[in-house]
Amino acid sequence: MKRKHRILPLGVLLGGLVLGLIGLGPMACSEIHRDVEAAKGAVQTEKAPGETPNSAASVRAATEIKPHHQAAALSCEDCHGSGKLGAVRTDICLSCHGTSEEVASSTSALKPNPHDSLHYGPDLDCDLCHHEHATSENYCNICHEFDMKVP
Amino acid sequence: MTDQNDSKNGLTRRGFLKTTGGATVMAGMAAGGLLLGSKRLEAAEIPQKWDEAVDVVIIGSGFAGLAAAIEAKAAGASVVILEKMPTPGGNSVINGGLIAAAGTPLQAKEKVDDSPELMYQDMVKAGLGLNHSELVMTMTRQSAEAVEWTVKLGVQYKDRNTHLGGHSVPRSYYTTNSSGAGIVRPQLAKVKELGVPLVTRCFLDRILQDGDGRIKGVRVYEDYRFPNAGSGKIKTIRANRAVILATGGFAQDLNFRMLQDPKVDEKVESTNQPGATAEGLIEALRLHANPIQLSWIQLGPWACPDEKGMGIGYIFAISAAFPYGIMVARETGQRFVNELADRKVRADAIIKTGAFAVGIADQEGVFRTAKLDTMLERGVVKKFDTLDALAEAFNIQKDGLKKTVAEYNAYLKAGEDKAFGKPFQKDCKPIVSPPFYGMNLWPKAHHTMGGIQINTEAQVIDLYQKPIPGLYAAGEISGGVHGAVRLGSNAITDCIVFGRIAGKNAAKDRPWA
Repeated sequence: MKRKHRILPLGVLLGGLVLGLIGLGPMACSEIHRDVEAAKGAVQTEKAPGETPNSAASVRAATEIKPHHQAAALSCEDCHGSGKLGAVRTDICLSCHGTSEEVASSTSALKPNPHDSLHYGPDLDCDLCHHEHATSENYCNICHEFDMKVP
Repeated sequence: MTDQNDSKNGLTRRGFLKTTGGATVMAGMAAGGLLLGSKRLEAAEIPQKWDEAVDVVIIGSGFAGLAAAIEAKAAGASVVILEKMPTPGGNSVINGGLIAAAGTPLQAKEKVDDSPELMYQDMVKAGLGLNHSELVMTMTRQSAEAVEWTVKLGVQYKDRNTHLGGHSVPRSYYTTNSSGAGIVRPQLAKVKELGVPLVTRCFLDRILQDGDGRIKGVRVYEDYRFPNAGSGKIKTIRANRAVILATGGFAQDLNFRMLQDPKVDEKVESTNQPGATAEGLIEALRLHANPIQLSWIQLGPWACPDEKGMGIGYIFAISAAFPYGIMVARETGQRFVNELADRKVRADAIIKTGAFAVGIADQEGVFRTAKLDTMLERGVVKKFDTLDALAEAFNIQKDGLKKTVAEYNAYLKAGEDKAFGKPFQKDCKPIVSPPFYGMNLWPKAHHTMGGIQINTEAQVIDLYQKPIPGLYAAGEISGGVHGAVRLGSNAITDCIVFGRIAGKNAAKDRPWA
């Protein structure tokens, strides 16, 4: 566990913060935050020639959450729990957002409905598309070219 | 297995990845498995204490893995399905949803005279005789039953046979949603109903083989993040009875596929999902499973270069342009191949022309084409009032095209394609009715016919022609069924037939003590 903790700033430098966090042991938010601050420093002093400071922006995003989650006054523990920090499971998302069928019907006007796919129905994990601390993506677009805003 | 061994393997893999860099992660995985795993696991590496135990461990959640799971569970075994990707269904869930069978109720209804023997002949002809005949016979004899089995699961098919290239008669069932998902999702529902756990993001690291050759379980990475080798948490699962490999093909494994056929390089796109890589196959090879014809990699001739991956344009090609229209070369405006020849003949012919070919059909020709509106909307298929306008838009030699269409219509009237011997459909009409539809065609890597050797009981056979005790395989990971060329719609049949056999046999394999 300690070893992974130590290499975290390197992961941040590579822009892989979200993935870097996976598998971390129990850590307080403040500890994460300290690592993030350290990484910011590292970005400024150790960035490779020609590298844009974009990674600093993604670092900053690590402790920030989306406006609607801010409005709901969510804390780290609300999603990540008090134990091991890591990827948030779909059932945690659904504990606020309703059943996967309800989520699907809320976007039924969209063509195609991203929450009720021909291939997977309403059963895809939220985090395949929606990222809290990084830019969201459209998982369908591995194969398709759907023009959709993913919050 | 000791902790030391564990971390050593893990670190070596990570170290290997670091040196190769992110861009070659997938290649790294393939080569890593091959280079680092060359030694046979010692008896000592079989763990004293397993994290979990189950009768049958199935690797892969496509058609074959799910069919195996349903049968194994029905036979009374406890089963777990492991899937390395974050989604279930593998490549099957994005498959085109066509399954071939001989002697079906649909054929009876349409008075199509067919038999397992005729299907066998079609397969061996296209397969250039490289097919392992006993496997082909097993597949064709059980094909109609395979379709019936899916119908019992609740799969819905269109009420007509589809006639695909290389088949001498119409014999393909087509799911109503034109996707393999039409089969995978009922399979998944059944698996759920039976209470079989399906664990996604679970990567097969090692098949654990004892000193006496018996397969005893697997070592996996749980919470694995594709394609990061070594991500996740190591765990061992005891397989009381057997392990079934249903890990699919390797059309997306650039490094591995180029080792087999250097022509299928980075310029060749693939229709497959990103997880269609070779790690499972390589792990079987490490256990001395016998490789069969790995270099026969199929390119799909119906693929459209104007969209990503499998896309939907292929539906226009297989439902309209090929059976009811024509395919021409831009430079000459002429046809250059039988549009219903097998996939290899057609793909090779397109590549030989040196430029995107164009598939063409008229209004009469698109009457059975699903999703045509979507294809037009996305600009994959384009629509024109005249053939001249079509020729202009696709930069086809105009007079050549006119002459070609006139000739083709005359052949159709005479009932014989004197140019290329294409079998005309009974309901084929001359190409005269506007609007006219056109689509670019350029082959993409689609299916890997080669794989590990299995026998008709779906047991994996080793280099010395002995079954590896406790190891089964089904579907695209196996080799020999299709020979040099797989006919369209034969993959699902292969997966369902041998998946079911593997599941039944694994469930009755004697548990090891």
